[in-house]
Amino acid sequence: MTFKGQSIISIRDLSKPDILLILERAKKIEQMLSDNPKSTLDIAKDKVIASLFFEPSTRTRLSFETAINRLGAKVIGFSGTEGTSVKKGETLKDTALTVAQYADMIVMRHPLEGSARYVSEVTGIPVLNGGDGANQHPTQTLLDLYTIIKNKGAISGLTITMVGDLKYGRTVHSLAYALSLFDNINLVLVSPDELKMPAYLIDEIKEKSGMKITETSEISDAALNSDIIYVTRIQKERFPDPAEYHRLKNAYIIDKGLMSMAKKDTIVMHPLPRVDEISTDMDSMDNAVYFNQAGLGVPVRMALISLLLGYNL
Amino acid sequence: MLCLTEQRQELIITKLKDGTVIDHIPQGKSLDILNALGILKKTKDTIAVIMCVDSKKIGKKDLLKLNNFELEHMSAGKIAVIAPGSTIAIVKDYRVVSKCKAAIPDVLVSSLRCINSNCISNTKEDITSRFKVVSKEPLKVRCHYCERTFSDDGIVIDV
Ligand SMILES: Nc1ncnc2c1ncn2[C@@H]1O[C@H](COP(=O)(O)OP(=O)(O)O)[C@@H](O)[C@H]1O
Ligand SMILES: [Zn+2]
Repeated sequence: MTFKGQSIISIRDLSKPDILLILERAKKIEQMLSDNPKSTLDIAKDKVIASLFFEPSTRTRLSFETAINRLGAKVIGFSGTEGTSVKKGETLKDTALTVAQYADMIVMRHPLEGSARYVSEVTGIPVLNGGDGANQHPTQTLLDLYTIIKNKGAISGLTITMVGDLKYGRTVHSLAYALSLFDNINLVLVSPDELKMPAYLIDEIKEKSGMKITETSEISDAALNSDIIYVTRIQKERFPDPAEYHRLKNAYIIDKGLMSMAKKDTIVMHPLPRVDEISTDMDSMDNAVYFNQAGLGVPVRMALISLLLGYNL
Repeated sequence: MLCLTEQRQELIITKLKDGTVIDHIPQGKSLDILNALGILKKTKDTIAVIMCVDSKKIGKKDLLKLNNFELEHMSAGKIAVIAPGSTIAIVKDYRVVSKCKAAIPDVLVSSLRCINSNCISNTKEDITSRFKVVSKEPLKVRCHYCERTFSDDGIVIDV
């Protein structure tokens, strides 16, 4: 697709060539900033980008706003709806149409599913979805793929193990879908029975691609053979019964002991925030890439914003 | 007078001058169509509801004859979901001027309602529902907004 003027709402909207082009652009941006990764590329000085976080966020909002600043553009917006007209009952449409009078692009997170698609339709300006309820969070998936490519050189042919809450975790849903666009991926899903990846999603992926998917509740064998272990947090807020949460939350702990059984170059990824599922004794290991992964959100988001604004680098 | 003489049965209904005939409706679904399309709210003209007619093609069928009523563009998709196999004939000046089978389109606009309570299309926002048809047989649809996939009981007609 031609990115200029488009929105990025869902990973489903992107083809494999689209994804590769975005990741290429991220790599180029990193190269351009290689002398000082914290310097800026002043290409978008005349642009104003609205950052509308109807729901709080740490990493997504801060890395988006960092990306905007490093492109030389200005940020306007809010984090949390306190003090905004949303609290007065303004519709999302009216808020969006107003903001579109000020900004060249909208970056947004909203608790309702489909909200970002709706805003892109009513405003007609590019919208970057930073999470719409339990639905999509495409920039997370793109930075996950970029982390994989950077560490492994390629995506095709890898054995990737996803661990933890595979039922509610939207990051693993989108990532599984995106991986199915690549060849010869061996996807291993490790979760307690209660938190298995939804069957409709596995069916959809299997219908579309030949990706090999194995489900298990045992981590040890899976960990031994993986190139990547992608860990997710078991989300407390998903469990009405606290006892159930406590029973499942420590079902899998990734620590030095487990990693000593894995291949030497197996990397451990996590969308963060983590609680106890990755032991802090892992943090200093070379295999632990999760903080760097969060950092790569900046060049990936810079790549997307620069593409949607139509800049050639 | 129009005579429907399928298997010795004779139905006498005033001939339509202008209007729409929905035929080959699976038995019992005619009222669902009337309801889902809000036809009773949209016209005060004569409506013939004919139920449980013997049909060579589908055993028993229902029929609707709507005087001076033109279906909206989106209605065929709705009819296809409620009553697969129905045929829609437009009558002008006592003649059938066009006839089609109500086929499920690739995209259902303004026909279904999303049952995901967390979907933006289920709020006070002014949104026209939109579903991508993922599979026609069995019917599976995906909400354009929340991207959830629905089948069976999850597919709800927007009335
Ligand atoms: N002028 C009319 N008034 C009422 N019903 C009509 C009229 N013309 C056709 N129909 C009915 O509309 C449906 C479709 O018409 P037609 O194409 O002639 O029939 P068929 O599908 O059996 O070949 C049939 O149920 C027929 O009885
Ligand atoms: Zn929906």
